[in-house]
Amino acid sequence: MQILNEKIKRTSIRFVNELPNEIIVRPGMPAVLQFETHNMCGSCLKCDTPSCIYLDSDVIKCEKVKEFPEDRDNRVCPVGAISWNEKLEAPVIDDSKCIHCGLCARQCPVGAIYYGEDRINICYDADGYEEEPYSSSTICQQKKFINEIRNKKRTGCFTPKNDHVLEELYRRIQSSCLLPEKFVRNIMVGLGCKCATRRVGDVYVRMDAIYNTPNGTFGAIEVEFGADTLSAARGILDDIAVLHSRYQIDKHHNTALVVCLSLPNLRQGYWQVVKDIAVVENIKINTLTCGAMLVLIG
Amino acid sequence: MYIRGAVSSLIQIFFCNNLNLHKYERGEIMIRFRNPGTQFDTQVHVIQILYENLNEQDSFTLQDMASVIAQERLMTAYGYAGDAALALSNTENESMNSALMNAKMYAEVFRMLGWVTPSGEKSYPLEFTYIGAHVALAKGDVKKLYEQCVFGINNPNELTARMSYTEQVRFFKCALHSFIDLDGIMYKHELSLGPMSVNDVSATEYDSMIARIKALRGNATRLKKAFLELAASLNMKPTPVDNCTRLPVALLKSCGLVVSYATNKLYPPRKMECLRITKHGKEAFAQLETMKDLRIDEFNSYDKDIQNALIRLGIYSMLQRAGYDTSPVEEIMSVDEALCHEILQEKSLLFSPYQTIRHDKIDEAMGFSKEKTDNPVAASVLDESKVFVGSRTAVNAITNWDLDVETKARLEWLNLGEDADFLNRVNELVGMGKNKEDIVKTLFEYYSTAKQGTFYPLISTLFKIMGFQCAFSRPGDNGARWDAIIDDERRSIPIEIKSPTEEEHISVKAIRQAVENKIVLLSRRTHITEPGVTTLAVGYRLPNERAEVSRLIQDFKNTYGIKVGVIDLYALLTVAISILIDGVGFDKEKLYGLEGMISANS
Repeated sequence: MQILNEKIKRTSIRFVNELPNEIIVRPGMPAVLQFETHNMCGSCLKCDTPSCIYLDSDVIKCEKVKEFPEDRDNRVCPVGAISWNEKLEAPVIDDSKCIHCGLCARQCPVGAIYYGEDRINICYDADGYEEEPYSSSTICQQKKFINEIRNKKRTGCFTPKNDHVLEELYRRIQSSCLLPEKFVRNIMVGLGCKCATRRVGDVYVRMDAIYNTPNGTFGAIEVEFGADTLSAARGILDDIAVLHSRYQIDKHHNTALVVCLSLPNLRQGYWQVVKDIAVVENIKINTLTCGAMLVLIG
Repeated sequence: MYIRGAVSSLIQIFFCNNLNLHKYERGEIMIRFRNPGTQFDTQVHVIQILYENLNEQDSFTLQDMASVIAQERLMTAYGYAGDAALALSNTENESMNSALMNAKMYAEVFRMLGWVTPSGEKSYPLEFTYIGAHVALAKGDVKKLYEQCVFGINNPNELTARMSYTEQVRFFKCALHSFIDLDGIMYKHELSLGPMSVNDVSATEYDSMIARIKALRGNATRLKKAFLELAASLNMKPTPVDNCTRLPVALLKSCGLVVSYATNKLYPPRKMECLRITKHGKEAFAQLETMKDLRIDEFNSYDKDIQNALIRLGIYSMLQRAGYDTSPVEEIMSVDEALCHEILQEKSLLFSPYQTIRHDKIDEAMGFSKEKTDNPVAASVLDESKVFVGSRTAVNAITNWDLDVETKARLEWLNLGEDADFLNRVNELVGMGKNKEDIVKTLFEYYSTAKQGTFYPLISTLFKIMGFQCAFSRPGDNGARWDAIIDDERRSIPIEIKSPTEEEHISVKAIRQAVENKIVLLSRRTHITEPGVTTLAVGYRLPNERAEVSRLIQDFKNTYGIKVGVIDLYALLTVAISILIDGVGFDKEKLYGLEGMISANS
């Protein structure tokens, strides 16, 4: 049985022959790569495995609970707005789908993806990059460059943090059909954590997600983008109990997190219940909005 | 009703001979897509992992699949993954074995997509197909090949155990055609009434189907009536008919052929969650229209050489359209194209052999000779796990309350109108000469449709009869976190109540709420209680997922030291009626320390 090969429609690949000292992300334009003697603009590397489209499979697993049946969909974009364009041999963004979360930009090793003129853009053609034929040796060279540049200092911010940008982000989130759990997972990954979500439709897994920070903090996550935040508080109690009882994760070493679209209002009773849980069980439940988490990403 | 075709096949055609129900030209017939897992990514991950683990075997069984799926953490059971899930899901009753059912679900989807095929005459064991191997080994985006497989789904085919269909449809092509003819937008029930219930080979029948849907539009009541009539004609309830649209909708969306679109245009003024064809959907249909759509009847009419050429061309052209490099088989394709020139007339071939004919014919055409390896069907891994069944049964246990304690009803507490109503009802039944069991059964049935406004006071009445001072919250009273509370001097018990109209079986959600009630009570101290006293979840019936609920109750106890008791209406009625008629109840102390589910023995 002869297995046919998928056609590889790649002719070129890019990288830089030296490493910058720092990458400065800027709103409105691609990042600046600062070298000793000169600066360069972030520009699409046409990555062999584009990290703006696919997350590394290691970061969507959480080693602390090896048995966790994580969802293995490793796409970065929660709404599928970024895709590979075979003609361009580069990623492209469909603004009609894009929610402006910037998760793809966070993953780009050289800051080629930027927010400007009310949309997410990709810079394709800045100077200074080596454009080489697509081959196993150039793929290796590119991989080495990407691995090394990821360890370089990265400063600056992706968007100006003003009401207009956040309002537009929320408007787009609410009118999109994104899966909140995967969106939150990818935000956590953007924040440098490892995060695993349960598979869509797997009703037997109690928690929406679990995470590990680089310094070893572990926690369960409940995601509630609707108004039923009380059920998120109950869900977290459930998650902590299951992890404590079945997976030997001490309830006091579980930095549980509820992620909402907006903070619950007082009438919903959420805050009082969170306080009750702290009083009775000495367990603190953390609450974050996805907007705040995206601000933290930069 | 005659069901034609194998029950186990994914696509079944239901035929009803009740002429009174023939409202549609062919409305009595509908492709019945099962309702399996519909996530594209998960399907691809699962086939890749199955191939990696089972490819070396000549064939594989559902149990082999279940074993791999569980061990690779692609399924969970009762909150566990991996071997524990496999062990816990293993029961004597095959239909209750979630690991096997999970495997069967994937097997059905993969067979429908042409990725696996029956290895012999029977539906199982299975083997991977040539197309399935390409999906499993793909390094890049498999969406294009996936889409080819979606377009390959056609009916009738030889893959069902019996082949007696005459109805013909290449559903996804027909669905795209329908979208285009219906202004690009369709509601899911229009799929059931339209392309799922049509013979697309007949232009007249297709046109009449489109005209029928156009005539329904503008009036939601008309659509609902038509949908209910379709369900009745299929001798099915509306929900399963609705469920039949899930898989086609998911496949259409996964391939980017349609997107969700909320609009009130079709059935004003109601805004409905419809589907809208995408640019890609239109382009895909335009391409399909230019192709030679080969169905089984025509295929079978050709001689063997032509059939073999069509099989090869069908498979290779699918891969070619999916972006595979077919240059190694270019020569074979050229010769086959020349041989089939009159049939194809310069058109590309739309024919997916693995989704249409049995694989022995395909093997012959493709030159795949089956070399018997030393790897027969793997022995069942599940058998070894049976040792775990005992532990699962143990957590399923329900504690019985024996009714052997002399108890007088606290009639002085029964002073509300709702209390009097209940007592009058019991008196009436006693007056009718009914015995205790009959009274309990009658009342249990009577309250089967009770709403919160009736059910909460009822539960309170029953606890009062049992000698517990119980107060309920009126629906809409958001200030109280619990639905009722046993107000005790030292050991108050909060009660979470689920009326049968909210949920017939007590759910995990109710258990969680019971835990929250206990925490709130301990924190806010509105009533005096102790940490070790139970918190109750009361509902119409005990949980369906008893094993999972029992485990969760154990988890809560282990982690927070909170005891959750679960009681259904039947048990409460049994105790209360026993007290009212015989003056015999249960040991009340047991309620304060209750943990888990109980029933009552009269």
